[in-house]
Order: sequence, then structure tokens, then C-alpha cells
Amino acid sequence: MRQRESMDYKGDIFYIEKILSGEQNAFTCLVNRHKDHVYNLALRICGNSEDAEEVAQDAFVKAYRSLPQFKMKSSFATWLYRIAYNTSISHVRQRKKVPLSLDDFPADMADFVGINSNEEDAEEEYNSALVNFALQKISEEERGIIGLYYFEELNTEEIALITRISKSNVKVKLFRARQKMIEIIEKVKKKNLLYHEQFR
Amino acid sequence: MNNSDKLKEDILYQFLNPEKIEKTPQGFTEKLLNRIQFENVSSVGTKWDYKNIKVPLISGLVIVTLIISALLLPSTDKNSILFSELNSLKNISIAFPDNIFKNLTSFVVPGWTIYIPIGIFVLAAFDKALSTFFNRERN
Repeated sequence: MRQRESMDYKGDIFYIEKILSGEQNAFTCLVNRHKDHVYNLALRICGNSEDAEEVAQDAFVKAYRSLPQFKMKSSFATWLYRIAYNTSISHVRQRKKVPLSLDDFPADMADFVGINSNEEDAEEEYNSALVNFALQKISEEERGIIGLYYFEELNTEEIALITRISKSNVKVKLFRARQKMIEIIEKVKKKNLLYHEQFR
Repeated sequence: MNNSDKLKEDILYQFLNPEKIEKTPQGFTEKLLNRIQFENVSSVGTKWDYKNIKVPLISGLVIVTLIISALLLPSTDKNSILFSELNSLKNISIAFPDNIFKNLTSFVVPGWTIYIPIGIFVLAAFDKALSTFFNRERN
């Protein structure tokens, strides 16, 4: 992964120099290279695809505007992630939603059985939805850190650079976010178990 | 971490992994490039905008003016009220009472320390005035 990042880093600089010298089409290459990662980070923090797309677009526009200020001290990806992370956090804070309650998660696994899926698939879908539900119950900052750590596979040092919090603080926040998610998952499972016992 | 904790964490590792990464919606890049063109966002050679630097510019000018005034003050009319007031401030020395601070009896706070709260007050008022003015302009 390190090698891939290093190659990307050189590639990014090549395109940045082209953009700065007036070749604005080179920005398309940068967008295509990073759009999925930026979109996914926004998706983890915002929790829905519409907001994530809007935030990802805003992040790229901000990056394009600020490109002359990019000092190349960090990799372009880190710099872009920082913009995307901050844009997503501000977006969520502006549109503060009503917090989810445990009852918002369906109690019956049958709700996850699709037309062609068997019980095993339904269980996987249920667990995946449960983890995503737990992710939406933690704070936006924690969601960002979880997204960067698990989905983007960044280490705590890289996350510290993006979020501008210390490495030790990233570790603490990561640990707490994990604990919170596990607690939520346990509570939902317990609640659903009680629900099923009622109908036996 | 005991086995039970490990099992609980497994569910996170299982469902929070890069394989679950989602693709951007179709037409994302085109939409973005259209937006950049439509909004006429300038990246290269961003136009110099005085608005970006007007707060530091005005602050800088006021500070330079204050410094110059302070330097020129001794050469002005020594009989003026301002000069005599400042001169009297300069001669103020604050001493702590003997009975309270036995060990500090010989300590005398320099006279210029009186300028510190005055300076803080002036800068705070100046800052407040600037922020009120620019916030009003922005709104």
C-alpha cells in the first residue's frame, strides 16, 4: 500500500503542476483518482448518499480553489482528505438531525431477506445494517475516524494529519468509538431477542 | 482483550472493511466539472482580492500608527495635558504591603506595567470595533 501511495503521490504532483500551469483538464485525472475515497469518507460521516455526493463535490471545488495554496508538505491525498473531512463535519453539524433511537432498527431479521437471498445472506445483510446503524449513532467526528481507519486503511499517524488531532488522541477516540459501536450492537441484539421471546 | 471482546470486534472488522467501499454516483466527475465551469472557479492565478487582507491591513496600519505616535510623543509639547498624564503614569510604582508579603518587601513592580492593562483594553476595544464593522458588512 505504501508503494501504491508513493506512486500516487508522484502522479498527483504531476497533475497539480499541469493544473497550475493552466491545463485545467488535468483536474479530471485528480478527481477520477480520488473521487471514490472522498465520496466514501463523506458517506460514512453524512450517512446518506445524497449528502455524501454534495459534500464530495464541495470538497473537490474547495480543493480546486485552494490548489495554489497547496504546499506539497503532505501528500495530495492527505490534504484532500482533510478538506473532505472538515466539509463533511461542518455539513453534518449544520443539518443536525434528530438522534436515532434503538427502536429505529428493525427487530426482525426477516426484514432483511430479499427476494432471492437465503437465511445466511439475510443474516449478513442484517449484521451489515446493524454495524452501519451503530456507525450512525456515534458522533460525526468518530464516524470520520472509523471511516479513515477501517475503510481507507490509514494508520493513526495519517489520521492525525487529516483530523489535526494528536496521534494519541486519535487512538483514544478510535478505541472509544469502537466501544460505543459494540455497546450499541449489543443493546440492539438484546432488544431484538426480547422482542422475539415475547412472541414465542 | 478476552475472547468475547474479540468476537464482538470481529463484527466491526467484518463489516467495516475496504471491500465495502462504494462507487461515486454516475456522472459525478462531469457534474463537478460543469459546476466548476459554471461557477467560474479560478484556481490558477487566483485574482488578488483586497477583501482577503483588509482586516490584517487595517490592523497593521493602526498598530504602525500607534507605534509611530508613541515614538514621536516625547518630542511633542511637554506642557500638553496628554504628556503630563502619561508622564505621571510613567512614575507610578506599585509596592506590595510589608505585612502581607514579608518575602516580597523589596519587590517593586516597574512603572510601565500600568501600560499593559491599558494596552489590552485599547486592543480589545479595537478588535471589537473591527469585528462589528466587518460582520455588519458581511451580513
